[in-house]
Amino acid sequence: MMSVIDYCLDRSSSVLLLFVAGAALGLIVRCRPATRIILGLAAIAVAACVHISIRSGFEWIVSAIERPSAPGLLLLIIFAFTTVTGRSFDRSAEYRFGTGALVVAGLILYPGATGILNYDTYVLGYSGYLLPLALAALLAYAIYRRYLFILAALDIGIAGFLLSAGRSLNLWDYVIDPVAWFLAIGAWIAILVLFLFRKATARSPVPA
Amino acid sequence: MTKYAANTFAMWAILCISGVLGALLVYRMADRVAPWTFVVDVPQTPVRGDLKLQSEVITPANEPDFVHGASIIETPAGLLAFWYRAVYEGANNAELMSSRFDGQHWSPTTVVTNSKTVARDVGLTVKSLANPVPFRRSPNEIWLFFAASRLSGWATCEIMMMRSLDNGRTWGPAQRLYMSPFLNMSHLTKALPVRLSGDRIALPAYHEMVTKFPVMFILNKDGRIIDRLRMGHGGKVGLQPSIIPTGPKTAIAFVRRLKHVRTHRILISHTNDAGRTWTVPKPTSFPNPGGPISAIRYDGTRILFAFNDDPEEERNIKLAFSNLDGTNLRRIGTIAQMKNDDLDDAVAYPFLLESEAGQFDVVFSRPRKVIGHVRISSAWLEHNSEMSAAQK
Repeated sequence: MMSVIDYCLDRSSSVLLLFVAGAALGLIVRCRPATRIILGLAAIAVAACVHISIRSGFEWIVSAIERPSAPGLLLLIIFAFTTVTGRSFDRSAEYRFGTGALVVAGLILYPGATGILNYDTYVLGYSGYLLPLALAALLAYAIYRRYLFILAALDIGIAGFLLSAGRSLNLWDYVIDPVAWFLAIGAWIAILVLFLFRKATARSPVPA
Repeated sequence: MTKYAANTFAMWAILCISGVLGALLVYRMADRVAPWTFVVDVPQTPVRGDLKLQSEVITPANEPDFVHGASIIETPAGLLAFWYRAVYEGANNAELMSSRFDGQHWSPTTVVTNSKTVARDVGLTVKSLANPVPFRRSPNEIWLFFAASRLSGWATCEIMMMRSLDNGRTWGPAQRLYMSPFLNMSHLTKALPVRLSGDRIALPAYHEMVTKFPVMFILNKDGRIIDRLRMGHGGKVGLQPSIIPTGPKTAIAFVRRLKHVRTHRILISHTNDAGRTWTVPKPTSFPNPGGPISAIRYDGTRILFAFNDDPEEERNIKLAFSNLDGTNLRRIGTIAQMKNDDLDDAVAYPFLLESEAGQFDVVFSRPRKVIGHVRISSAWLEHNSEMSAAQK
């Protein structure tokens, strides 16, 4: 049973990313939601049929990007929903806070963990108070603001870590992943662009 | 129950669960990784054996493929060697190979596993395999660590592990070791793990992508990573550390230099806190062409190591003694040599083991087709060491 869950989790990021890419194409060319869903599914099918070296493009992506963390999976689902419905979440304070927290967490984690900086921030996820206290503060703020999606994603991640349910015994791996980080950066670029666009539109004189 | 009441209940449930999980998390993380010390194994090395070297080729004479990254472990049925084989270095469908030595002859080679089997074991496609390193976990149990590249190139490697409960006759499925938050890339093995207190082990490894640096991973009794320690203050400092504990809290690591650095010498790093922190690797007086160094504890005061004694190419493999802090290095003698100055016949990647008291074995590769083996006695080592001292 566990291996089936592992198998599905390992492929969830790739399935959702390809679906989002296909559906986003439909959004750009202004297709209907049903067509966007078809385009999203078609992107998965194309990746499964195209071969990179000895394996399918889909399996290549699966090998490349790993499984998502709980917040990463939530963000991918939100992106899939956004690209199909066309609904934007950039005015949602919870969305802005959640993606902003992911951007900051990634900036703290990845440069140090990959050797670009000399201080290894990944070890904070093995033991010590710093990372759990930071997460507890994040939970407290999310409780205060009633950010239920953020609470649910963090709760699932923390519960997975406490139960040693994943392959890693490092807390970081349950609350962030590189795909989520890149998506959150993309989300914040979109938020800033839309903010500036709205500001510019509001200032422009209304024609008589 | 009204919809409003249900929503309120759900909200309070999530709030309570969050509070409890946050508290549990802080409690659990407070002191998860208990302090460790090195298990210091000081061998009693009697002076015994032949003054001649015993040399064999392990791989078949007509080996068609690239072979490299050899290692060995002692078993009740004799020495067991491992290496990897592929059409070319890093090619698809690589195999981990093994062969047994009865003291006179190496057995026909057998396949331990291959890329396809590993891919099936872990549920992800794997391109190539490399650098198998065996570790004796208990009298019958061997853990075999190896690097597996998921995409292309060694920078996309992660370290995996297989277990054998019958001294290498059969092997369990490969399992992934989680070592990095960035797609679990890019770490590789090369040197022998070190025992720690609390039934834990330290696995020397190195990071490959963008910045190359040595790392020491701490594994629990189940073989899961519970801590990692960057060696040498980070930065581009070297790779493939070979760690030798010299005391419960002290150890020395021989580190391979990076290809692009100006100082073509063996590097040494020290720890005084059981590997929590390591000094910046400093160059020694011995040259290093950019090849790994394989080191083991020889006796109460010396470390024995195998290395390439050339600043540019892997022309030879020599053995040398070092004192326990690496300040006094002395060459002993050459055990393998490149033929006719032909760079295609370089002797690379030595792996050294004390298979019995006073008996040492080195395996190495002549990339691209040969894995070689040399058996050395402590009598040969002491004799040549004395001659080397007399020549000075």
